[in-house]
Amino acid sequence: MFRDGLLGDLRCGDWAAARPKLLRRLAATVRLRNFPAPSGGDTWSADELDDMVQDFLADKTGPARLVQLAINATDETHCHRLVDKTIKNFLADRAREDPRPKFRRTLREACTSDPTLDFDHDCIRRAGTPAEAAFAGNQDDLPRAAQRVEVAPPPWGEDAEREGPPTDRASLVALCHAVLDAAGAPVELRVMTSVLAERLEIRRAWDDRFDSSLDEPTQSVTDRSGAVSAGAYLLGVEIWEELDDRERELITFVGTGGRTGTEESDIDLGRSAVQDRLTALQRKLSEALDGIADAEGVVRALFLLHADWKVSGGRAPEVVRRSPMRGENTAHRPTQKPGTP
Amino acid sequence: MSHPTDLELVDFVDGLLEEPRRDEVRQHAANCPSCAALIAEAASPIEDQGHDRPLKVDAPTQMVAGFRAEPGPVARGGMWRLEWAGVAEMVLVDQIEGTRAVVAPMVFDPLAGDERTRLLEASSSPFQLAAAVWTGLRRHAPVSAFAQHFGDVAPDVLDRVLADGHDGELGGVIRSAGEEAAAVRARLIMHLERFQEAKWAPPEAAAELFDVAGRLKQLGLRPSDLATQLDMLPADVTDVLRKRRGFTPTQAKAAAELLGMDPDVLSAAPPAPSALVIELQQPRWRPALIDQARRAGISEHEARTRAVQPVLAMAARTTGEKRGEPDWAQLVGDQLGPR
Repeated sequence: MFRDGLLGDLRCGDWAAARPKLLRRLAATVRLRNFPAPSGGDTWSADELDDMVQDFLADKTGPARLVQLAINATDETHCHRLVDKTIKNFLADRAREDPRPKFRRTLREACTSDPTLDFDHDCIRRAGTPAEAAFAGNQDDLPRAAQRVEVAPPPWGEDAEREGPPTDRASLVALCHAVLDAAGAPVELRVMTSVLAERLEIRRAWDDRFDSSLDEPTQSVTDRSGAVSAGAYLLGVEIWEELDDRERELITFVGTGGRTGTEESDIDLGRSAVQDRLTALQRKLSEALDGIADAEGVVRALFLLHADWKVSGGRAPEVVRRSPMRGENTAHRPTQKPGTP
Repeated sequence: MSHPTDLELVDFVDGLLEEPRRDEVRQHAANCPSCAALIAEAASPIEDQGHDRPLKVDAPTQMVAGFRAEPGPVARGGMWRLEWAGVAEMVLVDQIEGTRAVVAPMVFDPLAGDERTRLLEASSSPFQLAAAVWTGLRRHAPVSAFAQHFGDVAPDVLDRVLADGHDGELGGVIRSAGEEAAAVRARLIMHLERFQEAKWAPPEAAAELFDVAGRLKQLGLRPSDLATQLDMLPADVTDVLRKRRGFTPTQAKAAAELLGMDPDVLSAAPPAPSALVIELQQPRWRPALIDQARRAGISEHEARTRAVQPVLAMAARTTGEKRGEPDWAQLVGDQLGPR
């Protein structure tokens, strides 16, 4: 049973048995957190999910990742929490490394607006040709066709602040036609993206949608003392998650010089016990923040998290990290089940 | 009710959400089309197309073995997993000092570090995986927090990794930005502090009160007087005076009258010998203690404390040629072993 098995699978080395459980967890994570698919679309195909979980298990850091989970988890529930966090970090790392989501959008726009091409059902075909089944042959032939096309250099200057498209629109269209000729059939956008990205040697690009998908602030959050930087906030969250409830209750007393006032009555401990715990907490935080440039920002972040935690009845910071699918940004909500054309 | 968080929805779909929160989410979804749609979408079946796709990566055999085997004693160079109060980390043991050890935390993923983090190369690691050894966070940890043993690092390798100024710094293999290293460091510090809670010592309150030898001296009595009055063997009286065992209730009553001491104190448990305290904290006894604690609804420490007296009683019953320093490992094993 899934609930009882994942940690056991990891520890006894049956990583193949862990695969379907991780696949399910990964699928739920990408759907609910609205991660763009590797091909750049809004939906993940079954192949993409399968590839991603295979990489999670077996890329160059896969074994270390699984070992670390087996070591750090103390029970099955804890294991699932750690898996969620690890999957999120893994996907974010992949997203940062993979330039294709952005290029995919660029390519789709080019195909949509060009009169010589038609685009529908995630497939590209020559304008006016029937919408038949997409190319399903050997994809190795397609890159060769793309290599034969000369492309124009990027239309943006070297001093541009952000990277633009890797080439001009005319070159993209020419490349699409060359690939369509080689395929002899419509080509899925996912396949065209892969082929042309390889041809154009696209460098790293950051897809803005990951800002919201990761539910992490890239700007800053603000409390009454001023702005808390994104980095300080994220470190604050890491520390917050390692505190127990007693320590979380005491966060607002940190930095008060050990003075405790009427708020003590909210904590079910005697004054000396509060002082002891507060001293231990301050020592822990002091060491954890040693060398951190914005330690004050991290402490303010902890205060913010404490406030959210009290308001939410003890469920922050998950409540703080709200998904964009809650009405904040519905533009990228998946509309199709993975794997459906 | 506010919307469930993403994590709660994932847990709900996977059947991991505990009641009553599970029921709350179910009721919310019944009245919220948005959340109901998310749940339906997340719950839709995923075809695992890779079930026969070869997974060309194996778990470290030392890891599998470590989780299965009964751990031995803690020794320098050991790679151990510590677990206490819901947190766990891997550490490298530097020194042993009775009931505590000096350890440095190790992390396999991510391979991030600060200026004092050292790299344990894969070839030198029991897991054949490179690890970041956070030597700057080296500190004491109670032996009672040790859980599983996964092998040892060679002494010369250990010396190189833990020595200051070692040229195998992690800097060359840091994959992540400074922020990730800071997060790992914060987590390790929090967990190392949590492990301090595993420190255990049996109650010593009776130590001062249970000073029979001192009381005899005060009254000008000799141990032989005690043996005669209480009808005890001289060797048994010696054990009492050396706090290796206590009185039986009958003896305690008689001794109390003779010595003018509290009979309840005399019939209470004497303090545990250091050797027994150390033995009870050895990692190999933790599974049995955790099991006893779970059955009795008490903490692991309380289970450990409760084991002291039965072991002392067994030691006290040892007579004749078997007298001498008790074999605490054997006695603890007899007390905690399978029934």
